[in-house]
Formats: sequence, C-alpha cells, structure tokens
Amino acid sequence: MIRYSIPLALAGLILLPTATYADEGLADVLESAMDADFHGSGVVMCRWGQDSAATTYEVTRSDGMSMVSGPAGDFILSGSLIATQSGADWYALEVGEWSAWNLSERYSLGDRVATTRLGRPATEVIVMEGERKRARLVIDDESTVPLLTEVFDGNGDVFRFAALVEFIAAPVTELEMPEGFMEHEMLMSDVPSPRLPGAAFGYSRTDTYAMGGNGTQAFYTDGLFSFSVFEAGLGTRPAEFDSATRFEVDGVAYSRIVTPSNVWVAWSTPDRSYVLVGDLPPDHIEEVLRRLPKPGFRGVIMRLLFRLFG
Amino acid sequence: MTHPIDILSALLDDELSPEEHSTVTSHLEGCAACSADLAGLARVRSWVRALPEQEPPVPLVPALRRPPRWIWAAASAAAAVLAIGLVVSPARPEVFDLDTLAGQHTARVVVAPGISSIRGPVGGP
Repeated sequence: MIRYSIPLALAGLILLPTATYADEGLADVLESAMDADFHGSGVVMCRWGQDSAATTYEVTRSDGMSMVSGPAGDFILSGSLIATQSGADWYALEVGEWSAWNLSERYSLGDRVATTRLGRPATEVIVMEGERKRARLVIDDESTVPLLTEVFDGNGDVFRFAALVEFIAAPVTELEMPEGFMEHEMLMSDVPSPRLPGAAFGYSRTDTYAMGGNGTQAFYTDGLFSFSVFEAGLGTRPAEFDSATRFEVDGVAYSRIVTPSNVWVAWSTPDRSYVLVGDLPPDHIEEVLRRLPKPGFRGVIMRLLFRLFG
Repeated sequence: MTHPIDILSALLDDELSPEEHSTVTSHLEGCAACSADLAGLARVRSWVRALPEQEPPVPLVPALRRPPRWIWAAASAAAAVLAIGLVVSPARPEVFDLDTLAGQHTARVVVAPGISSIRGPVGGP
C-alpha cells in the first residue's frame, strides 16, 4: 500500500481535486466510512455458484451509535456493545477485548473515478489484491459513506453486492441505548484454541472468545474481510446444514449456506465440529479451509470411545 | 470425497448421521471399489452370523466355569473404568444456534473497519 501512495495521491489530485480523501490510502477510506453519520436503506445480496440470497436493510448512524434493521431484526450498536430486542426485553452482547485493527498489505487502492450516485457527487474506488480487482466501492464525497460495495470472487464475478437505495447524510435522528438489559454478556479474549492456526491465508487470528458449552470463537481478519470459526465437541453442528449445499476442497466435503451478508461453512473432524461464518469471497474461503482442521470420520476405536465418553 | 473406508462398518451398523449416510451412499453409487468393500464387509458379517454354534470340548467346560482370579480383577477394573466414564463423561455440548453465532460474529465485526462494517453490518443467519 505504501509503495502506491504517491502515484495514487497524484492520480487522485488529477482526477478528483475536490474529493476529501483523494490523498488517503485504503485504510483511511475504510476508517472514515465507519465514522460518518447518515440514514439509509439498501439491498445486499450474495452469490456463490448456484446459491444466492438477498435482503433489504436499513441503517441509521448518529454520534457513534448505529441502528440496523435487517433479517435478524433490529439491533443497536454503540462502541463494542450490540443490543438486540426480543419482545419488550433488550439483550446486550459486548466485546470486552479485541486486538488492534490492521489492514493487510495485500490490498491497495486502484483506480479512482469521479461519478455520481443517488444524485450525489461520489467517487468510484477499486480495491486491488495484488493484480486482481477484489472490490469496487462508490463513496459519497461529502459523507465518505459507501453508497455501493461490490466484492469479486476469484473469477472476477460479483460475489456480494450491497447498495443504498435511499441516503440522507448527517441525519437529525438521535439514537438512544435502552436503559437496561435482560442479559448482558461479555466476550473476553485469550482463550486457548490449540487446534486452530494463528494465521490462515493472510488472515490473522486476532481474538479467541469462550462460548457456552465449552465452545470457542476464533476471529480472523485481514482488515478488509473477516470470519469467525466456532469450534465445539461433536454433535454441535446446526440442523440447518443437513440440507445445505455440499462442496469439496481438495476432495474433502464441506457444507455451505449462503446468506445475504455472510457465507456459512460447516464440517466435522473426528472429534470436533466447526462452523465458519464470514464475508470473505469463495476463493479465500477455499484457501482458508485448506489451513484449518480437515473433515474426517471417526474410526472404530474413536466411535467406541465417543459412545462411552461423549 | 475420499474413500470412506473407515465408516463402512458404521454404515452397516446404521450408526451414521443422516448427512454422513447420504454422503456415503452417494459416494458408493459412483465408486466400485468402496461398493466392493462394503459388499465384502456385509458378506463377512453374514458368514460370521451363519456359523453353527459349536459345543466346547468337555474338559474345557469346568475350567471356563471357574475363571481364574485375574479374570475377575480385570473385569472389575473394566467395570470401574466404564462406571467412571459414565459418571464423569462430559455433557454433550449444545447444538450451535445460528442466531447466537451470527450475533457473536457481528459483535466482533463492528468494532473495527472492514467491508461489512462500512456497508452496514447486516447480521442474521
């Protein structure tokens, strides 16, 4: 990223003399996009092979808080706390510890082109992964909010598409966090997870959280995409995967479910069950799976021991 | 998939999960080698079951009726291990709930920049 900064800055100055982030790198673009206040409604869709899913969502961001309405219902974000409503009660999940954010050096900013979207001056930004076009963003010049994001798979086809169809910069809406929560769960890091690697295909395992039932959540990110690997004992795989699409990596089988915002993959080793969920493109998923514990079946002795001791 | 040789006996014993069962049977449809292995296993099982019961030689019967002391010791030890296993065996973990996993993943995603957090962190399984 550093080696492109000067030419990109010059290109930005030539193409977009008025753009507020013309001389910023990709990390700055991503960080500014998180801070802007706005209200919008949009559509997000995801496609992997014959599997696809889409939904609409609504988001309001104001003064460091966000309210998002999507397929999981409404939730409010404030800092590291996410509050969800069930009936009249609110439940809070808070991330107590997390590692600092770093953007992988494999990503850089490609071409920037001035454009308009939703009738507003905007800039089209290409995110490159080496020589490959990995994502396209159309960013509102005034607010720095991405009005459109496209992520491309290894073949250059669109894997995920998200676009705001309604947008108001700097809304007057004030968001308020509920006064109390029925439950308030805290995720704390630094749980040992010896079976999972510290890094996989450029993704670093930055945090590992304990879950109920002796499970763990290992969070991996390369700064642009991220995924969690949930690990627990055999028999914890959700029933939704019984009818999921099967696919193979290096001849071994996995199950996948495509949702609008994430892809889910499930598999079992001889003694553990795993579920991966994340926004990374399919070619990255396949590379990551090659570096995680491989699916396998229980042998006779393992079946006997599993039957006896669980 | 790779040849599921390890679990062919489990298939015969009907001990596979529905998904494993489906995977193996679909593999068997296209794999002559594994189909032959499965047929061989089934044949051996039927042979063993079809073997006639044999009366033990008479001199052996009294000896079998009075097993040596070490047999009792070994049996007691095995029973103790089994009992301990049943008592202290870990409870089966609960099945993952996709809503819970989605919530935990989303909670971590939104604390830092990234393609999901900048476009609107849509959760949900």
